[in-house]
Amino acid sequence: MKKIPQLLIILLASIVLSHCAFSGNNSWDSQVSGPLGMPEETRHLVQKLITNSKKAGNKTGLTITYPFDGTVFPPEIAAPVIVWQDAGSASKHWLIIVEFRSRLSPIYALVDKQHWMPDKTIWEIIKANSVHGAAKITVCGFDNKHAGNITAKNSISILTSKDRVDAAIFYRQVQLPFKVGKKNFKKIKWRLGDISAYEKPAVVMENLDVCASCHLFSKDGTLISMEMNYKDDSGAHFITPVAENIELSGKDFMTWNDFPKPELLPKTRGLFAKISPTGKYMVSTVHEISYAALTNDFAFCQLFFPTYGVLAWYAVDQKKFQLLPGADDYDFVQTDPSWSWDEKYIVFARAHTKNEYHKDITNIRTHIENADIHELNQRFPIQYDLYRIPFNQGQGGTPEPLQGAGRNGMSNYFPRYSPDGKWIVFTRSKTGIMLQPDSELFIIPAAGGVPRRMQCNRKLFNSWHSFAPNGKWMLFSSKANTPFTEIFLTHIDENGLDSPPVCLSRFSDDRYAANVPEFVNIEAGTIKRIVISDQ
Amino acid sequence: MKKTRFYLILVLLILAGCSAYRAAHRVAVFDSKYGPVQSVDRRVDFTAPGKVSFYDDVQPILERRCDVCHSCYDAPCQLKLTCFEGLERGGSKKLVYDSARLKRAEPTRLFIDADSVDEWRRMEFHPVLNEREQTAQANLENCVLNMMLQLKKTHPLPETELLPGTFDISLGRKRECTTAEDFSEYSNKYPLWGMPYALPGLTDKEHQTIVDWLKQGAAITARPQISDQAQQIINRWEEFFNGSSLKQQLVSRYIYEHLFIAHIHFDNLPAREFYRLVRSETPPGEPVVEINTDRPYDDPGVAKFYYRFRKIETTIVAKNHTVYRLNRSKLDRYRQLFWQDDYKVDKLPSYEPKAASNPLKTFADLPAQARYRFLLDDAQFIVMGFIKGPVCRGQIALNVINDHFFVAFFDPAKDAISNDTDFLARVSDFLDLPAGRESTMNIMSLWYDYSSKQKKYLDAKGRYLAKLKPDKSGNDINYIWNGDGHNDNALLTVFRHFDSASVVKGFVGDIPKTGWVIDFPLLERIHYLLVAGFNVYDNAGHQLTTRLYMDLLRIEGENNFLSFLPKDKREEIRAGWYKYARAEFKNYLQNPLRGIEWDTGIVYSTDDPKKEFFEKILEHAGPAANADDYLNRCPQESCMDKKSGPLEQRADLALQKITMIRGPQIQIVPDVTFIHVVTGNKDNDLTYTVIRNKALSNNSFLFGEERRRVVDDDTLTLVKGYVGSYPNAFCRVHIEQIDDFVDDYLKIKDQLSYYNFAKTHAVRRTSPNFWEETDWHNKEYLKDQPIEAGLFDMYRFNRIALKSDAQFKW
Repeated sequence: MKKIPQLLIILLASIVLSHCAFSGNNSWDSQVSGPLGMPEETRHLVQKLITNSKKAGNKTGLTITYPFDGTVFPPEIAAPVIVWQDAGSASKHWLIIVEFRSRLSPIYALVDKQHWMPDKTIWEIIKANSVHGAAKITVCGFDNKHAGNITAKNSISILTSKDRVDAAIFYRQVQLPFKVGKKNFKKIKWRLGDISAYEKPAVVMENLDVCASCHLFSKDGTLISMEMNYKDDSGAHFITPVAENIELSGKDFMTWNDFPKPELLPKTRGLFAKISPTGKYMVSTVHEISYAALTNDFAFCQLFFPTYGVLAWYAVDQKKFQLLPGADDYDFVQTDPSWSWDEKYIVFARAHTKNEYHKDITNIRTHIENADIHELNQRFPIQYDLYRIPFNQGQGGTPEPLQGAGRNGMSNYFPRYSPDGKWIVFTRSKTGIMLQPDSELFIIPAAGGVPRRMQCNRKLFNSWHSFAPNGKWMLFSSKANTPFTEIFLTHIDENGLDSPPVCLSRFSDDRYAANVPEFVNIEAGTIKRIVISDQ
Repeated sequence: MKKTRFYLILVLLILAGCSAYRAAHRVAVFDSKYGPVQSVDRRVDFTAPGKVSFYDDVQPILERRCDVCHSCYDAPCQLKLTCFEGLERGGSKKLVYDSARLKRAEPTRLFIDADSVDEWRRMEFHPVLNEREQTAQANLENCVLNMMLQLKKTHPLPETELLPGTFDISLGRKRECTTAEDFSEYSNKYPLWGMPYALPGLTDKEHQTIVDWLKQGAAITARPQISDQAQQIINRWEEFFNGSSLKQQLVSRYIYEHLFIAHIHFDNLPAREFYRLVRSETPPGEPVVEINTDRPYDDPGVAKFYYRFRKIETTIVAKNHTVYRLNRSKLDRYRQLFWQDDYKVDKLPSYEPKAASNPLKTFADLPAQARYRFLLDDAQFIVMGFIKGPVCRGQIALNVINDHFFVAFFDPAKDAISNDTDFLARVSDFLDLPAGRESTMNIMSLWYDYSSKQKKYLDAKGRYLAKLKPDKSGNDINYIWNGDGHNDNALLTVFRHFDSASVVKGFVGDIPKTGWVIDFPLLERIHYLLVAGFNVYDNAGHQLTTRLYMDLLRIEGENNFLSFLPKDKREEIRAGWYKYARAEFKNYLQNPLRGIEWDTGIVYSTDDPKKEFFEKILEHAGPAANADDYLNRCPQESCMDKKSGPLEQRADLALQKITMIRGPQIQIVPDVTFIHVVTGNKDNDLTYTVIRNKALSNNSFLFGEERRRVVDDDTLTLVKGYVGSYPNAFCRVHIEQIDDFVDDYLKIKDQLSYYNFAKTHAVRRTSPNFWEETDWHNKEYLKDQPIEAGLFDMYRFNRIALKSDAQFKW
């Protein structure tokens, strides 16, 4: 029933537009102002543009930068901002035409800026009419002098999936360049958002005195776990039930520092710790030594990777630690573990130790380097391979190299199982384990196989991906558009094929990088606030 | 400015005043509690039954737990605990090794430079035993020894994997050298620094024994007299040395100046009985009154003196234990060497320093070949003297040599120069040594003078040889001494371990970078430069000129070696030994191959003449050489010593693999590691030493050794038994785990992998079994070499790692 008035409006708009003219100074949107409000001049102009646009081929100089051609949107997502770049100085105004394969008439909009966001109602119509066939979005540039002359033109197509995301996104906003210290930690915000919302995701945690970073929720979304330097303990990690108001105190924390360590090693942080899907266990790098440098590069302001370490697991109920046999070889660094959703396997990154990078192994410090990430990568290369090991109730087993994700002259890391257990998506770059400019996402069958570069990759830094609980969607971070990392979303079908991604622009901020995002099997409003009660 | 200076001076004066007041106050407190300082006579006739005896009860504990550091010149605070006299002398804040000393220091040699406690006090030694009222309470509360032991007991070494960072075990660490009066300040500041320092403490029983002895007044009984048998032997030898003929006097002087550092052992006397040959004011039959000159060729200052044997009363420690054996055959040998030839000594040489420091001049009347053969007979002793003799340590002195090199000698029967008494006498002016100029800081001028003299000598030698050999026939393999077919001193290997070194018989280890071939004038000069003429108490100038002149002698030895190699290869080979040497060094050499213009008489068939030459030497030396070093030169099962037992073969085979790793991978490996292989039968346990040989681009400079390191060329040498006096690490492995041990060893590449290795295989400073293992090694060494063994020094025993207190934060 709701669709009737919308369709009516579009129909009217189409009729009116065919008789419009454009004043040249005003934007006009077929969905915002009704056809009756359209000046005669505009009506005529639009009519002329439509006629001319049909004749004009795609003129170079105009690029629709977002959405990407072929982008698949989730059905519940809020309207995106369509953005283009018109290099030609002649274009002063733009006509946007959204066409459908269905019989629905096109939608038009006239704007004098190089972006346009469809009205919520119209966006819903676009989505509804791009499920079975792509919607074509055309942007035509024109000038004032020669009314109706198309100066630039380009088109893309978008699709809307039937598959909903059905999960919230939890992520961190951090100022760049990344700096440590209480003053900087206080500026960090943690948000929990819903892709359908037109507002910015709500801040659920802020004003922390300490650093917090890696986190993971249990599969059913009932438990949240997060690395947080509670009471200055860099090994501290909380595990607590998800609730509207979460008040953290000592009882919620465990610390990887309780894992016995050889005296020489620095304190264990519990690097890249991951709670198991059921929340019964955690697995983490322990006995780790990491190389950490702050660079002079704004976008890639740190180089961090472990050079040494093994995996250990922690039984949450029994509060017991144990090394994970098979991932406990001190000739290697074993890190960045990931659980299969059935908890049968752990995939992790492994490399030969690189302790020679530390001037003094007994005094590990964060380096301040007057060098950019590329220079540092050259000086401190490291390449990880992915290995799989059965968890076997903590008994571990023999590590098997994950075919297609190692020994390829690249660094392979950040493996994530798809919830159906069929796939593993991992990150690959020439070197390193995080925040690498050339990092790209690859997908392989979960038991290993031929890797396929994912379409969703953007031109700069693609990593930190997370599957939606239903496995149909995967989010990831990228710096393709801005040094302030953004979150993207790609659809993955049953064959593991992904789509050009959706940019979650409402999760972005021009002063903060949106990082460590995670899909959470809850609704966005489930958590309102997380505080430390005895900070 | 003036005001500022005034206030600065005022503040300093106030601070100094406060410090002096506090010190005076502390002394006053002790005066009031324990009475004034006084002389104490600790001698008693006998130890009463039930009382603690120093010799029977205390000394063995000191030997095992204290002397491993508190011995020789590098004893911390000069506190030598190797004998009662050292304990009674006490400690001093003055350094023996002081490379910045502008003036010669007064020597402080125990038994030599002072005869009484009062004399030592005047020389600023402070007591470590109670020298106030002799009450049981004061004997403990005013006794640094007790206080140090008690501090350790109260604050034992933490049983942690790593030695706490609060311990400084570097060689150059600041000496505290606290007195009893200052002890409370020391203990507050360094609660963990009780003794033994940075090592596990004494057992309760050991502790109590020492405390009881101190409480009862630290009494001492007279030492037992030497045995009649010993006396008879000594009488015979003193009679020999004190013969009245000029020839005898000159021969005795010659021998004395080479044996003055020796720990002389007489056959038929107990294995651990040693004597020193000294100059005494008193004749045989009377108590020895040793003449305390700095050097053995210094003027004795008395009209008549006597060569006497003085029993060594201190614990024997490996770092200065250089044994020389005297027996009937040696006496015969002396007579054969010095009396067979017909020559005359008409006049005795003077003790004037310039002449006395030049042995080629002083002993010119003695036949050169006799002198050379005297040195060659005990070549290992002579060469070891260069290293152990006058000093216990000395990195600057030792960085003049490579970490590992082979030494061979010219055959005295064939080498024209070593044989020619007249020629050597003629050129003896060119062979002057810098010690002849006494303490000086005019180093560059001195060095220039002596290097010019050496050039003149080499030129004269060249001209003389050209006369002798008109055909210009070069050196061939027959010019290498083969030990006369029986003497195992023919070939030697020198290992340098940073600031100490070892000399072993035979060619041990893989083919080294360099080799020396030594002739008589070179061997003699090295002894007079580094042993007879070296004075550890002299100033920095003396030490530097010694080091610089040794450069020239090393080059002479190396060039002798090169003279056996093809002429067209010498420059290239030598260039490999002196990479990156600075221009000025090259300039002064100008003709670095001076004196070796002729081609070799050896025909080579490979492209590696250096290796081939070493192989030819080994073949030539025959049975006298340690030719079969399969551990390092043939690491294959087929090369194993089939005569050794199955366990030894198994250990050999496994451990050999260690020698194959080299370069950057072994940077963390300690210089000297003793490996104890446990076999299950303690009598059959095995011992090996792993030596790390650190390569240098060149040896041209005193300082900046780290900058000259070529880590890619570093190697490891594996030796059965013990090499080195200062072990840096102990490993202990059961024969059943020997392969795992080696696998783990091969994984060592950095501090962390070494730490991981050490967790399983090393005995650490903090290990509860540290002393047990130390005792085992000392006993084993003694069992293996009853006469040559001495206590190992633990002062350089490495910590596994020094953990920073800083925490990694992100």
